[in-house]
Amino acid sequence: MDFEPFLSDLAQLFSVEIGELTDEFVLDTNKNFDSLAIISMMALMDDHFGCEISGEELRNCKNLGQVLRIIESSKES
Amino acid sequence: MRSGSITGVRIAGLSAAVPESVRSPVEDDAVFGPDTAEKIRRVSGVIRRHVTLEGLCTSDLCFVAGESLLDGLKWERSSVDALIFVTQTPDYFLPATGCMLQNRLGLARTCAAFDVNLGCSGYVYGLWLASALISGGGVRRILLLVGDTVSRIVSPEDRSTAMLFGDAGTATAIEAGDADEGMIFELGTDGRGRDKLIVPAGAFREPHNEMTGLRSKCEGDNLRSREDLYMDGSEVFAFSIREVIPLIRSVQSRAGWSTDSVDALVLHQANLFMLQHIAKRTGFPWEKVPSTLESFGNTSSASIPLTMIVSLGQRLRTDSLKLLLAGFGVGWSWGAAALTCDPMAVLGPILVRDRTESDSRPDDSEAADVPPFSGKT
Repeated sequence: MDFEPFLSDLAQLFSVEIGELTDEFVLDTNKNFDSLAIISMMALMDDHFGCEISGEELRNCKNLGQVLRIIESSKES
Repeated sequence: MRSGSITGVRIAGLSAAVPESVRSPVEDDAVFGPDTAEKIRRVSGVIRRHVTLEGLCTSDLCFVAGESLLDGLKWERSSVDALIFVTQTPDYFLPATGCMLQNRLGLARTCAAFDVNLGCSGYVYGLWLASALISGGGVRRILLLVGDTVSRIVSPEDRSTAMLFGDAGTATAIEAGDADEGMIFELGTDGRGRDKLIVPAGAFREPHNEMTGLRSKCEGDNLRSREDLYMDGSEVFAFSIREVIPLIRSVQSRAGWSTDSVDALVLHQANLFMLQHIAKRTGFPWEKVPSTLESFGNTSSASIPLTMIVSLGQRLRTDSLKLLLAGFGVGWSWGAAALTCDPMAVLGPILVRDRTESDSRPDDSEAADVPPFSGKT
């Protein structure tokens, strides 16, 4: 699965270099993963993959890897 | 629920009324700090909004809108067969506010009046109800009054809600007519949304007590009580992706309209980020998706008709327009409509002076044309 375009948009969203967006990239609801970041991520997941996710599921993701696994499994079903 | 095409019904006119007072960015900056306030403005698209400061009710705003519309159309008061009042901010738990509006507007005692408790989806539901009643026979003219004063149920120190909502009341005159094309409706509900947009206390599931009105800190610094509006913004966004995008595609497809042939997609004015995402995913160019968020905020049930008046008013007066409407949110409840509007009367928005102490009860002598009730049938 090609995550490149999605990661490119995420890099802009989080204001980081794309190289920093590894599976271990931390999503902290008190810092970089506030409500605006969450809905922006939802929009990007919908735009790139047609992937729907609830706010609660997304808030429970502690790192980027968990989000990418959710996207992968949504495509399998 | 997918309706077939409802024919023989036309919208004769629209009007709106909003409180004169405007909440400005400077005031929001003072409460939340300019950086936070600016971030919220950027995402929500709401810069300023009309709000009542002295306790105007939705019924006051809808009364002004309704009165001006009836006068503008020269509709005899006695010709209005039904009054439908859609709101989530009524005057009282009971009686229905629609009953008081019948009196205040001087409508006949043979007029059927009732309230409908819906918010974001309320206008589309109201249009559907009115159209179905007229098309079912026996009803020729309906006054649909739709509005909310959400500013009055929001905590002014809750960053997640305080800067988003404005107040408005609207009136739509609907009558039996020779509209060439029918209206198509598609409505739905998902009660799992109950806890995502809610005023938890003050009615009967969690009655008012000495604690329910006390504001305390929630998720960080948001100050809110159980009697204030709670909104889970990310769940509302997830809901709109899940339900609203397919809804619009479905009703557009059933109407058989290409995107080019649609004059405007009028969405409930939830927030700018959401509207832009919906426009992108449904393939509508932004020029066809009007927005009044900047100057009026999210006016709940009034947002669709208010946006029609403010953004499309000139064209609605002179042209025949193909419109897609979509209202969605609290409930979860949603509704979309595809309709072709013939030229109609469009009035407002009318600015309404805020209340003074002497206005505490609407003056019943405004209903001068209605014979006094004698107690005899």
